[in-house]
Amino acid sequence: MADPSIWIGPPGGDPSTPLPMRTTVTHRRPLSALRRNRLMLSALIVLLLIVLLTVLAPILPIHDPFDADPLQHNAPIGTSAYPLGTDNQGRDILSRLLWGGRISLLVGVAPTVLATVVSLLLGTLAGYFGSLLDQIIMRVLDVFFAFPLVLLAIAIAGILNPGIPTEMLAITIVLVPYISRLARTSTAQVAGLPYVEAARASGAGTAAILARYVLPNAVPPVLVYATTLVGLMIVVGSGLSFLGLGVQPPAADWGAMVGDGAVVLRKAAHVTILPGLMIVVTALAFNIIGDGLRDVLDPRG
Amino acid sequence: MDRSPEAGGVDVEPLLAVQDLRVEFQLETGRLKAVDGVSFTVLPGRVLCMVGESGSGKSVTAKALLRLTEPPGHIVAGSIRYRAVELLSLTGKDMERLRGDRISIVFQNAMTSLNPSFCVGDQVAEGLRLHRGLDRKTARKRAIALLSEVGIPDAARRYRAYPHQFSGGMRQRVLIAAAIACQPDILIADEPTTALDVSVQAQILRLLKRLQDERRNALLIITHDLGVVAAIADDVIVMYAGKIVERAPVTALFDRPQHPYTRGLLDAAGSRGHATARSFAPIPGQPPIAIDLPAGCHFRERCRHALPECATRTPVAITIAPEHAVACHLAAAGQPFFAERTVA
Amino acid sequence: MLNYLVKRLVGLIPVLFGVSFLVFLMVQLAPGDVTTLLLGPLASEEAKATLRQALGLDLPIVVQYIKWLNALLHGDFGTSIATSRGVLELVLPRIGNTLILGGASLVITVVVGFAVGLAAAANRGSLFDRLSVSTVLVIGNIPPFWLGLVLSLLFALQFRWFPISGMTSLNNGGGFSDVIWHLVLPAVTTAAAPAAVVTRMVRAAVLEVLRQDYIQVARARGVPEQTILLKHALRNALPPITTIVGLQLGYLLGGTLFSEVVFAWPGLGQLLYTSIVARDLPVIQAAVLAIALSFVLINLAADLTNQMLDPRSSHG
Repeated sequence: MADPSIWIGPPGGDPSTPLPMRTTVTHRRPLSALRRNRLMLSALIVLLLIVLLTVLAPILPIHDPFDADPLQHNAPIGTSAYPLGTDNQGRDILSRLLWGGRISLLVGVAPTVLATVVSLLLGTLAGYFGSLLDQIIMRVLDVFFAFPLVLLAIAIAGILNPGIPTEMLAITIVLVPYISRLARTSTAQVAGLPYVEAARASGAGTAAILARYVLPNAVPPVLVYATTLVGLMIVVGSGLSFLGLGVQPPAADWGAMVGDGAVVLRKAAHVTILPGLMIVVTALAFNIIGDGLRDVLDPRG
Repeated sequence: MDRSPEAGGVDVEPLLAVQDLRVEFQLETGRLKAVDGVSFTVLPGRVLCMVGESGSGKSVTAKALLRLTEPPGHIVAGSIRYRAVELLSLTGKDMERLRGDRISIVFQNAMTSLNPSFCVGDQVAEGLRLHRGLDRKTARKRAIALLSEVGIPDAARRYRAYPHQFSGGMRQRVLIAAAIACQPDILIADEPTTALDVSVQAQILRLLKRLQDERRNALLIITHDLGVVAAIADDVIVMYAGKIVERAPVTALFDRPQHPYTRGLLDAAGSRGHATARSFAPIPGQPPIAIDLPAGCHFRERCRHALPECATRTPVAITIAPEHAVACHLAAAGQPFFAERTVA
Repeated sequence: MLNYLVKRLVGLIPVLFGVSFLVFLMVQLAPGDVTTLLLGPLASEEAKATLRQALGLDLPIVVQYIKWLNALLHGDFGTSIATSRGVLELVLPRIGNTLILGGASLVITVVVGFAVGLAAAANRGSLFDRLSVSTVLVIGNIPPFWLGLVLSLLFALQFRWFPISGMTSLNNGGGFSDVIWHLVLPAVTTAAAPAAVVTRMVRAAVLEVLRQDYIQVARARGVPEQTILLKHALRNALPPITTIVGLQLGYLLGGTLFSEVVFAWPGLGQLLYTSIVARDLPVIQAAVLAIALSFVLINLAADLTNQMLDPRSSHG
């Protein structure tokens, strides 16, 4: 699992230091622009395919994901009625992968979106108005930074009642500090620019200044950052489900399926491997797209 | 500045003999012939200046001499003989032994040429430890002496100082000290004064000349500044679009330039003897980018005296006077086109 | 340097208070009534009320927090609901085990990250470089729990090179080499993703430095290529790299959690997991607190190392 705080400054450290939009080390990978575009295109196609299949799961001609076939426990890949085999309760893996994908994707995307909205609010307030409000917000967020991201998510999800809403809430809460910090710095950098000062001096209202000058410049890097987080959150979310803290049986997402498969690892490895592969492929696709977006929209450094 | 001509007629063994050197850059837009068949020699105890506009290939030539050409550039043909050794056939390890020891180079960007993490003294001493195998203490002593020699005051204390504590001119001195540490036969200086303040430029030039007088190494200076040439050169090579267009002893070049380009440069720079830098705006037009150039003389487009054959045949260097050669059809046609140039 | 240390330590204090308060608060917000949990669903309202008062649950939150904090500082972490043992004695031994796993993973992360990153930067554009970049991209997206299972499948179940789980063997275990043998798979699992990130960062940092003028000057001086890489380049690439490694610490700790679960390594992570399953709130609380505190301290250590390594801060 990669680390969302790669892009924003020293660990547990002073949030008031001016943060570069990236670390000082940026270097293009040894891929020519053409190859990079081809890579992004492939990633986009793969992702669209996955999203399409999972969204269409209810109307596709596949087994019911809860349908347990007592005669076909742990059927291997290539079994006639079950192209990807069955799990340890005889349920069709292909079907469960598609239905589970809906949850995995949801848990990756929705909290990120929600956290971005909340963070933009918090971050721009802190970054634009500065002084006490800024200090308070940042000090509170600092406390959250004292926890490793995954641990905090697990702790929150573990304490509340397990379930999909809990999982999404936990991930949202955990993301807010990171995105807020970037939103704050991004806003502060723009707010300090001469033309904003000029606008303020000429008597423009705060709302107008925010809308016309500050937000259009401060928001894009935050959005770019948020997209790079989606893939990560799919991995984190799957981790929570693996531990039993997310979706509850008999429903399952990819992480839960890996957890189910762990008990039959020796004799029916595919039950564990297949859902894991889905996570890897999906997260990788998001990662590539996010990187590509970042290169295009935020080519600093 | 009284420079009496070397005793003519005595064949001095060249330290460096460059023959038909070609360096090409593989770019997306095509193959750039940055150095297109350059031949010259570097003699011991003399100062050779290589002059040209940016893009003429002079810096590329300088780096190529030490095989420091970086991709997408490659040395594709030619010969560089240092004493009797063909440099282009040496192994990487042998080249490493040569660099900084027998042949040294100083670049123009003094501000960024020193490693910020090491003290300046260690960087001066590095060559000594590498090539002479000196231990720390001895190398340090020598380095302090070198720093002193190049004009760094309080050298013993300044040894431990870091690059960010020095001005541009001082850093250039440090770099020169590091370059001469092992007493190289040839010191190449690529635009040594360009990035420095005008007031400092003269000091650096004087330093280079003084060191050369004392150590009798060969000094090859790459520059676009005719003032530098006037101040310090013994011999001059003029480059244009990757080729050498004229080569002469300095007095001959200033008094009797034979190539229209050289003539243009001199006219643009004002009277000889001005040490201040003047760039070459007044020749109308721009030097061509050396990709897919047509046959013929590359200077043709900007030359007021172009002959019909200038468009079809590439001029070859011909000697028109002792030590004075020019690559131009006008000279080949035997036209004593340029009379003595009156000094303004 | 000393100044910096003192400044940071002082700055830690509000963070520590904040962390402990947050942990305290988290448990307070847990659904379900503590008294029901402790006394069982059949207990009378009266009994619950008495217990509630005895536990001080009717006092304002801040007071409860202070009482709780006070107890903590006297070593009283409460009793485990599931096992009725003191929480502190459950948690304490595990801290060391997690640190061992975390430490080993850190070593792997740094060693692999630097070795591969440097080699890739030194041979930019080569097959090795391109392979490394692609591999690293993929590995960074592999969930650690799945990786652990896959490694376990291959190397423990299939090839039987390593044990499946635990920290020591049951029969004659306990020795140093025994622990190392058990440590390999979980440490590799934990280190994989952070190592991928470090590799990418090292490569980028070194490439950036290699572009600098002073590198060309060193080459012109005859410094051998290997020395240029290891001495001239690395020295200037280190500060951003150590910052990056510091940022990985959070992921290392998070990763140890999954590895401990998959490989049944007896550390804080596994304790946290089992206590979550058992809804053993006092233990959850203590485990989270222990992990958070370790993280804060480790980050401080990383910060200090960073300060020491940055030449610009100590000289001139």
